[in-house]
Amino acid sequence: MAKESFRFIHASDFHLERPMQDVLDLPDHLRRTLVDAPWKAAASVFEHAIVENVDFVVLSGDLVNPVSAGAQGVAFLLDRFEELAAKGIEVYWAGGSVDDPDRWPESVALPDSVHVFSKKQVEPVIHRRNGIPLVTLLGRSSDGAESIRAAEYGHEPDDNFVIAVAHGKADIETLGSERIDYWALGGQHQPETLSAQQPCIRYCGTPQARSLSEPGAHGFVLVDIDAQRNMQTHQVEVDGVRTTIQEIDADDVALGRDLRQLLSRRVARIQSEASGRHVLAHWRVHMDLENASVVGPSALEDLLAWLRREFGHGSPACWSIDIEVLPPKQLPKKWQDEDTILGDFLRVAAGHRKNAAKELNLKNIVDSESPGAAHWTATLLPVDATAQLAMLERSTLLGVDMLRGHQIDLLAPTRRYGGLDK
Amino acid sequence: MKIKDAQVDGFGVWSGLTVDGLPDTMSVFYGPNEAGKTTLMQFVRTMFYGFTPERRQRYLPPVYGGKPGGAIRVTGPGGGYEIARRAQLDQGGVAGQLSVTGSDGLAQGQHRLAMLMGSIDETIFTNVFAIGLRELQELSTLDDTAAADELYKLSSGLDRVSLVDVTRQLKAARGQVVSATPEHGQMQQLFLKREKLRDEIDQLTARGRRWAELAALRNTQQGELDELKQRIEQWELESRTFEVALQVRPNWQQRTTITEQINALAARTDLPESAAEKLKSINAEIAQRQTKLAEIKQQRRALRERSRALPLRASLLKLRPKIEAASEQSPWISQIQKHIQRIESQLSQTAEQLREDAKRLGIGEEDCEALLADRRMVRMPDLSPQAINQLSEPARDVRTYLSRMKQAKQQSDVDKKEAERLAKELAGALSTREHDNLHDAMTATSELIGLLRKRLQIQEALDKQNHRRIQLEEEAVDLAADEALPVERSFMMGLIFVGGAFFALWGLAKVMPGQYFNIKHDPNSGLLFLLLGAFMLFFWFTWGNMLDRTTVGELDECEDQLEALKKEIRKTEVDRDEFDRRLPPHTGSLEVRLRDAEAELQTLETLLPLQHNHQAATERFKAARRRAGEAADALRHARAQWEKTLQQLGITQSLSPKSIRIMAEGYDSLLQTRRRMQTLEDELDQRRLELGAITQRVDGLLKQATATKKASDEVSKVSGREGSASASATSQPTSKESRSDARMERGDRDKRNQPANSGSNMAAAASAVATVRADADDATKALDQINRLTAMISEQEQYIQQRKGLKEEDVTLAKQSATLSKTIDRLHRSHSALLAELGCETEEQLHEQLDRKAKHARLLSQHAEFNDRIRAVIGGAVAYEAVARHLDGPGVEDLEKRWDAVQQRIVQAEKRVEQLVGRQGEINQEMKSLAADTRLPDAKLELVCIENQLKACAAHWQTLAATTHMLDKVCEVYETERQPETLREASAFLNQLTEGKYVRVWTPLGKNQLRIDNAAGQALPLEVLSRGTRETVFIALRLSLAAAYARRGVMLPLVLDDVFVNFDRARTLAAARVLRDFASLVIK
Repeated sequence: MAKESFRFIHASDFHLERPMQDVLDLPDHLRRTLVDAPWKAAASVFEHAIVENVDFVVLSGDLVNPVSAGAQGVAFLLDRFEELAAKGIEVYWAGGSVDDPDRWPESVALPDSVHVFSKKQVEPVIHRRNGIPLVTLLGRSSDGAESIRAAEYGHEPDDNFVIAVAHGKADIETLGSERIDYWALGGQHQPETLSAQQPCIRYCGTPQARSLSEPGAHGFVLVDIDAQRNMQTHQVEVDGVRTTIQEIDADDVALGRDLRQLLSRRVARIQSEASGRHVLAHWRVHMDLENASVVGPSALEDLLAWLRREFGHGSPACWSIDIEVLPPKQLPKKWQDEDTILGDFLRVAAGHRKNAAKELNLKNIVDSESPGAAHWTATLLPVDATAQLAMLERSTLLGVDMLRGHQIDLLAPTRRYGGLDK
Repeated sequence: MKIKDAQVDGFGVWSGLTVDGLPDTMSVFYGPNEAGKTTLMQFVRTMFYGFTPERRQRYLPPVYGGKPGGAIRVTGPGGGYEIARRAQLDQGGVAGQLSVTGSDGLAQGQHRLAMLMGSIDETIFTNVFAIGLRELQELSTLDDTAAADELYKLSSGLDRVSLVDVTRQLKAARGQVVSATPEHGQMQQLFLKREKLRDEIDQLTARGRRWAELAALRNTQQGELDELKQRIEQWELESRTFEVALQVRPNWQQRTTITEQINALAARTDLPESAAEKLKSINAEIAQRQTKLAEIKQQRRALRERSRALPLRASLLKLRPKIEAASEQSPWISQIQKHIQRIESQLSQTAEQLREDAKRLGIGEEDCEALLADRRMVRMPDLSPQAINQLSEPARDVRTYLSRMKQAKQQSDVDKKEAERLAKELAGALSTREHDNLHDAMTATSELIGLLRKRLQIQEALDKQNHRRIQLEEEAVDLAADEALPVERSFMMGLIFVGGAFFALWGLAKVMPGQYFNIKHDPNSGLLFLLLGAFMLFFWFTWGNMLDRTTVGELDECEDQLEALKKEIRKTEVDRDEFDRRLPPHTGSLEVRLRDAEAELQTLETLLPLQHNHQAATERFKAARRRAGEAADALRHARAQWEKTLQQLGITQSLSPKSIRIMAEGYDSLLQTRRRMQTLEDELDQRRLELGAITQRVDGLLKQATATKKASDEVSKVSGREGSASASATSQPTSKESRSDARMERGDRDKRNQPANSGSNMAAAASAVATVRADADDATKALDQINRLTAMISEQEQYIQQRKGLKEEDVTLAKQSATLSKTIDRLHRSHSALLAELGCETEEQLHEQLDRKAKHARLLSQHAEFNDRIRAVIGGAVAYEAVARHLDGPGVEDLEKRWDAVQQRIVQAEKRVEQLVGRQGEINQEMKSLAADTRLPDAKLELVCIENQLKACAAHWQTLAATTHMLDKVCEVYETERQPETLREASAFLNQLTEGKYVRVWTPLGKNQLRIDNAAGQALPLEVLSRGTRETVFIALRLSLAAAYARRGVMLPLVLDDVFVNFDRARTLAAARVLRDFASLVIK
């Protein structure tokens, strides 16, 4: 039966309490931008709700930690909710792991247009237009469970469009078996469409990426439902800063003088993809030790300074966080066969690699060279086997570089972090 | 590898220098300072490792011109090579133009050079093999500890870099990251920053809690504020109520007085103002109705007079059923009239037809008129049905046999023609053959085919017998040959015989060896061979006899068969000749003749249907001829019978059967026409009689009606004169009646004339009632009479209708009169009921009550006026009820005091509200400033940076530490495996270089130190040694390293540049000897 058309916004994971991650040096000219990026992105969601004249807004959790976000977080949300209420736009909010409804200050009353779903059970709410039922929303705030229990969202079928609001990990099979038209999911920072067909299952993602592990565009989902129940979804990008990890292959490095040209082209491409947004870039250089001389001592540090100088001050800026030197995929076999110290070193490293670096115990060095407090041990010792292996790889690269006469100067990184030599 | 020749094209101060024939052992280049010795060493390094930026800067372009670069010739594994390397000044490449050319002239590249260099890179070459003054000078500039350290590094592993150096660099780098003391180290500082930021973030987060507390306080105050405002509103309303009550109090009291007066008056307000008017109108209506009733009575009297004046004749109306019956018969009269006319027309047509039939039958005019006049015919033959029946059978026989004879004649003609055609075809087909008859020809052909087939069978049998005879003859020849000389059998028999004889003799020789047989005696095998030989001989004999007997028998049998076969052949040939004689002579072969005969037979068989058709046609022709003859006989007999019957009936014999039939048919038609005419005449007579009866009855009825009307008119004239006095008043309505009377009079005059015309016929009609026949004119007259009677009755009915209308009008007026009477009664009752309803007995009492009510209304008006004033003052500001409560309730006198109390309460509450609003503003401002403070996310971002830096530092520290950990392992390996050997060899070189003054270089276990033992056995640390001695140790350690490389197969030229500058003469000589011996040792 033909009903009225409507539209709504699906957003989640504002994480207003969490700043940008993975930043090493905080440039003064980008400080305000980086601090404000999550807030502006969240504000854009609400602005779009008013501009697009949506019927309601669905929030799938992890908006703000009311405690750790301070006064600004709660006040921000309250102001936005009141703006929506003034426009007659209702809000349906399922709490996540950080915005547990119980944590919301009792003294701060939410407007009547904001409906917070219970964390004890799935709660059905009917959204009406002019008193006529239009949409049935089934929602539940997260109770700490990791996965979404789809069976709880069973309901008596009616003629309304049905939206399920949930926070957590989703299993497409179980979610697809319920009679839900749209699953508005939260808890995943990267936007993802698990199912584009009926039912539509979507993670809208965070409006603003925080770390390098969240590359690409971010925003919210604008959903249009026409009178025939045909659904159109649009991913609206509102992020102000994007992150990217760029890998420079050994072959690119071997080009020597053209490396800066290569980086320029890469930056231009990144900025083109970011469509006028600021970009935080992390460079990973696969070092070819045989041709390392073309990079030269301290070249990477110079390169980073050049990147920041050339591209990090524009508007929009492409700020290079760091250049990470990756060990070559394979060291020359003849080095290991050499009857030299380098050969001995590589053979020792190979022996450790066979044992998954389990015998690479640094406890004695930590005890002898650090003040000795427990937190130093916790900080300086690798946390797990993966970190241990990564450490071995870095150590091998450093050892090779030093035993071959500091052709790359891999000790330089200590000076970049505001160390003593700066 | 050894350098044999060197050619410097251009390098530093050297241009075009050629050094040839360098020895295999050691070469010494001697010269003053700046002679170019170091340049030559750098030239050698350049040839091996290219133009590094440092060398390019220092030695290029050549001072004295020449092409930059040069060449050296070396010997190495695989023979001699020329290594040439030249540089382009405008190109900055390290490698330059390198060419390595072998002794065979083949040009090779970098890989050959790398192989010659034993994959030793420049760093190792410079540190180990090419020691220059610079290294010595560097050593000299170091203090004692550093110099000792430097020398220790040489002993503890030196390839490209020193292991000790690397370890120390790593430790220093770790120290920058993490310091053992709390104040220093990058991570310590980061930790401090982090702690500071965390404290700040905690404080900022606490401000968030402060914001929540403020929000709670604001909510509480807002609640209080709302409540106070609500109370103030109530109090203000109450205050206004008091104020208004005081204003309206005088009017309120006056209104109360008027209310009391109204209550005292006790007027009947329920009396309607219109009661008096209503009573008056009822009286007027009663008078009007009574006037109208009198008028209606007058109208009814006039109507009765008009009714009486109408000329209505009751006697005439009594004849009405009869007149209506007569008028109903008018269609019947018209129909009879038309019927009579139609019958008369048919009668004339039938008479005409009768005349024509008579004319066709040859009846004359007279006879025809007589026939019409119903007279008998006398000249017509008697062609009655009986006579016709008698004639019909002979006539039919004549016609039948005549027809049969004609059909038989036609059939015989057709069959005759068919038989002749078929006979002609058959004769044509047989004309080419010997036989006239088809059957004979077929029989002869069949016999010929039989003979030919038998002849062929005999020929086949003869061929088979001849073939068999040839086979038997060949077989007999073969058997005869086998019997005479059987080659194969003889060979086989011979073989068996020879074998048997051999075995028999061999066995005999073995059994009985003698002087003829030089065979070993072996009776067992000999006996066995003997038996085998005897058996084979027996077999040869038996089988030979049996084969001979078999061959002879077969030959005899074969010859017997051959003889019998020849007899059979002769017999068959006799039969063949017999058949050849019986067959007609022919030149073709037997097969051709058989085929021709079979074709002839097939052709003859196709003629068989033709033969059969011919025979059938002939038979049919004969049968038709016979039937024609029989029909001719029967026809003659039938004609004779026909003539005989005519004669018996007396009819002329020339009359053919056909003419008799025509006459019979015309006679029947004439008789039928005459009978139909008779029938029509009878029917016409009947209809005329019926019409006459009806016209008679109508005429009588008209007379009766006319007489009755006349009598009635006389009576009405008498009564009309009597009532003329009363009718004069109503002469106008009766004008129509007078017109109808005039018409009646005119009708009467007509009727009076009409009886006069028909009066003469009346007597004749009355006398001939039974036989009256009327014609069509009578019918028309009767119809006119019926119309006149109908008009009279219609006129009377019209008068009746007029009277009925007057009567109905009178009834209507009577009803109106009754209705008016009832209305007048009802109005009288309404008058009484109205007074009763108003509670008054009389009209005067009612008027008194109405006056009292008017006074009550005036008082009410005054009351309303005061009420309006009060309400105008109260307006919408306060509730009327609230004011009423204050003015009507107790304490109306102390309203002023109560008003003052409320005012005071309001002032107090407003003061409190003002305080709260101010406090709210402060709270809002504080909350706003707290919410606007963005330092928390700022600090968090800084904390993230610090933590990331900490992580990076920790990761870097881990990398450094892990590298150190692995290098310690390498160190252990070196110290345990390589250092003892290196130090032992270095000790030997040191002993030689110092001519026995210092005998040993060693390192204490687990310590990174070197010790030097002198000849006296004293272990001295490096720090206490002189500069020259330390350089001696330096050279000794280098030589030991070069020797170690040589032992590992890497033999490179050792280039020492000014290393003896600090040596005295004796030590220089010793050093020269050591180097000479070292060079020889390496060669070996």
